[in-house]
Amino acid sequence: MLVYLQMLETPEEKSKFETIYLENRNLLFHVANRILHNDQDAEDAVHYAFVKLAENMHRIADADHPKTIGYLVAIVENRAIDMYRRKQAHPQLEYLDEVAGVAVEYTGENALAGCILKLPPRQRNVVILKYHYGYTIKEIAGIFGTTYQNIQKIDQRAKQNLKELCQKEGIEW
Amino acid sequence: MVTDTALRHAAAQAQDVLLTTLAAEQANLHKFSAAFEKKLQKLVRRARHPMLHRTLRYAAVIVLTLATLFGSVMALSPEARAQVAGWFGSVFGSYTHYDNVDATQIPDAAAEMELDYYLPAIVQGYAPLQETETPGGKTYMYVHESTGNILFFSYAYAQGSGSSFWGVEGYTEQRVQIGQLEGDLYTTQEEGKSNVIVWTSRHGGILFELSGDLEGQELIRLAESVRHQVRTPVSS
Repeated sequence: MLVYLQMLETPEEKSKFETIYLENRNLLFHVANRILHNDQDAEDAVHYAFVKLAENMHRIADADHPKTIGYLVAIVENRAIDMYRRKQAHPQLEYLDEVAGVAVEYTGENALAGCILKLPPRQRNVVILKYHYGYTIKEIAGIFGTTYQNIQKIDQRAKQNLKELCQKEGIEW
Repeated sequence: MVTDTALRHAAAQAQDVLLTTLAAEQANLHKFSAAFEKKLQKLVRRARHPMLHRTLRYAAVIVLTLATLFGSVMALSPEARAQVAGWFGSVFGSYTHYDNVDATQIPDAAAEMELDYYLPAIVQGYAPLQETETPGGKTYMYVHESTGNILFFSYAYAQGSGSSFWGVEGYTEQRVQIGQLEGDLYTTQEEGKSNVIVWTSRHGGILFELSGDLEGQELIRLAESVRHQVRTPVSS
């Protein structure tokens, strides 16, 4: 095998990527399969998520951090929805939110968090990636493999839906 | 009123709840298919590569092969070796060691080292991933958007420092034409290994390398496409 000589070798040779992969692949498969109900398709979605992770490893500080896991979940969920949509022959509906993602029941005290969890999965993922992870619209488009315009539309719809949900909960927007 | 701060806090809480719910729902472990394991192991092997290490000391690594260019360089006399300014290789069993004699005093070689080299176009499906530059050379990495395969293009200046090892076991070696230059193409059918092409600039000031999951002819075409421009100083 061709060997790349490192001028200096660090103690941190173990791949952070490998750690993340081994510890989270089952969870990601579970997320994808509950949408796709097909093992091979779910594996493809998981593979896609890890390819995206490999592209963005420089942004991953800690393999164990929930942020890392959440990032992967958002990618695989979005990918699974895309794949499901294509199979249902709705290719033009890039931001249609008919597909149910991960359903979550929230019983906490933060009503705004509850409203975010009620958003359709794509909108929820964009909100979380934008506000919790600090990604820009352009970066989110790259992560999801879609256009800036699509993510911008999802973001706008998310804000609108979130406003309506908040108003129903009595939260002043 | 909902502020950005409130949204950030709420988004973080929402994420926590989501992950907790998922972890609780997750039932039996899935047995991944052999095809999936193979694809992910490829990604893992790539992830062990320098792209995880964003330090200057890592960026100085350039893998070269010049064994056939000079034949058995171990047989070179000190006088002959002194006349070889620039990059050269020595064969040690299944490894080739690449070293260089400072060529900065050779005008033509020095002129080559004043330039930056780049690929004007990339193979379809690949996107730029990382560029790492040091005073000794530069490495570009590109990633295939669906397979995760990595393509490397790197070059090193013959400044009398830095050396590399190539392990060539399992490879077929052939001398190839790259435009008006000659180089060495190493190809393999073995899983997990990349094909590699290595060549020097006309006056020996630069050692180039291209490696990736591409066929030999494609690597040659890419090598022929390399362009140069006036070098901009490396910012410290």
